[in-house]
Amino acid sequence: MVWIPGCDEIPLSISSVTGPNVELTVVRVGEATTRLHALKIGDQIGLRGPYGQGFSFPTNETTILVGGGYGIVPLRFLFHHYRRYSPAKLPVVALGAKTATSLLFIAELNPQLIVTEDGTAGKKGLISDFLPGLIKQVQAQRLIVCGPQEMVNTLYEIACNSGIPIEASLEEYMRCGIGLCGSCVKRALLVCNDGPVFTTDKLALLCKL
Amino acid sequence: MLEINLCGMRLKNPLILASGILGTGNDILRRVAECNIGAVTTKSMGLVSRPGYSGPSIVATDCGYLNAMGLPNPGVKVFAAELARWDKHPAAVPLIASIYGSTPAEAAEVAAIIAPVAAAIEINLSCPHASGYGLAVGSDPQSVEKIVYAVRQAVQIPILAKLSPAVADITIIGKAAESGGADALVAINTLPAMAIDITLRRPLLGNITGGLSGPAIRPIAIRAVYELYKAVNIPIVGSGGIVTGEDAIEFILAGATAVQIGTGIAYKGLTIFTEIEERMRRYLQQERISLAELVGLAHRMSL
Ligand SMILES: Cc1cc2nc3c(=O)[nH]c(=O)nc-3n(C[C@H](O)[C@H](O)[C@H](O)COP(=O)(O)O)c2cc1C
Ligand code: FES
Repeated sequence: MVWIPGCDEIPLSISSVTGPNVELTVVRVGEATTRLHALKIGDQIGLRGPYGQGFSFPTNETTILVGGGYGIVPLRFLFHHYRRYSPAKLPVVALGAKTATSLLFIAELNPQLIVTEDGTAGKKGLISDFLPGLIKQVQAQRLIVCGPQEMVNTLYEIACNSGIPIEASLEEYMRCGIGLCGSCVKRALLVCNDGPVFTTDKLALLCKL
Repeated sequence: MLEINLCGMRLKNPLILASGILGTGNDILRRVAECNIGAVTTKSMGLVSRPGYSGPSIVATDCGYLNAMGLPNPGVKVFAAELARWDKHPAAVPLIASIYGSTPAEAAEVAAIIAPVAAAIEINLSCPHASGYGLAVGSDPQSVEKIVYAVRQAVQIPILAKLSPAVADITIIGKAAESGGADALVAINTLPAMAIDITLRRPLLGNITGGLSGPAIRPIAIRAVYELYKAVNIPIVGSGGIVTGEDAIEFILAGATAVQIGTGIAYKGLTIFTEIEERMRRYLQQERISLAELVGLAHRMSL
């Protein structure tokens, strides 16, 4: 949870950690993020967390990280973790976005699949159009996903059809971040505490088939 | 062994989910209801929706939490539709609807709208950080009596009046609620409090001040229940800082018929209800005493 003094506190995922430094990647969408963009070096903000359940870190499976738009941010953090602790078995990265300019960290993550809705980079269409092919091609054993809910819904279906597990990081409005206030409920689940990363069995309740 | 009758409601044990903790929707309340609990309470609702305050809305402190949510809620009509699916079977876990209103007429209107889906109404007379509501009305005995009376006229189901400890004499407010027609009292809500970040040198909560909950307030709550037990003839539901079975038993000894649990969930998760229930059972077995006999036992004067 990131506190922008005098403004608000918002949930953000970690983009990268180097030594004592925590890196956040923030898209300007509302008041709080606009204020974050206006910060200057030396300005101070508050941080608490991290909270909730994170991604698993399977090093003996072929895993595809699927990022939709800015959903790549927490996956970047996971990718760094692989680079550091499992360099021999890196996950395959697939990136989708509306348009070329919203594709982040391409050079760093070296994605095997890039898809844009307008075709300005990579293949044209939705990431879900091309994922079944990639799953077959690399013989994926797991999908790790972050992106818009509709994308997660389709990928959940694809994972089920391919018979592989999926975990997805979901987004929801949060206030307390610690499972008290109920602001972040999806059905009977708390995104802050039961999630934000949910595995196949929980996603079964959250993604309608 | 732990079953109780609280103003006509049958509870399988005296543990109740406190208002404002997770009670935002049907499915999450249902999940809590499956956790060895006697009853659940909704988030407080008003006539129209409130967005709540901007964050931070919660701050951890040494023995508890400070919160200033600002009563965010979608309004009673949306809540009534959401909770229409609640199982009202007599054996099901009773649903207590927490309401607020700045005037007696407004509180009565909210209560009347939600009453068809609820087993009881809890009137939040005590939120320390919502101007015009809660504590703003709950510290004046006349307003309290009028609000409770108005709700009494509007609904047939039991009414619980939830009191604030931030008053000179809580028994005066408790008696006012009793004469307005409350069937039970809930004591206590959070206490007005604040915290300042020494690095940023500013108040931590978006609303600057908030309400303190958790173990820090338990001794204050125990005293409130103890005083109220002597002052009124209606049952008391204890609330404030309950984390363990021992804490719950302490409230019963002070005079509580049932207890509410909120912040404890941040420490123990939803298994807290099972833990407390098991501890209470063991205590009753070891001490060879019934739960009913335990209520208010700390008041006896001689050994
Ligand atoms: C995050 C949070 C939100 C709360 N919201 C409400 C509310 O909407 N209505 C209410 O009557 N009490 C509310 N309360 C007060 C609790 O119901 C309870 O009375 C108080 O926290 C003391 O009990 P505890 O120490 O077990 O939490 C809230 C408390 C917390 C921590
Ligand atoms: S944000 Fe409060 S319960 Fe999840």
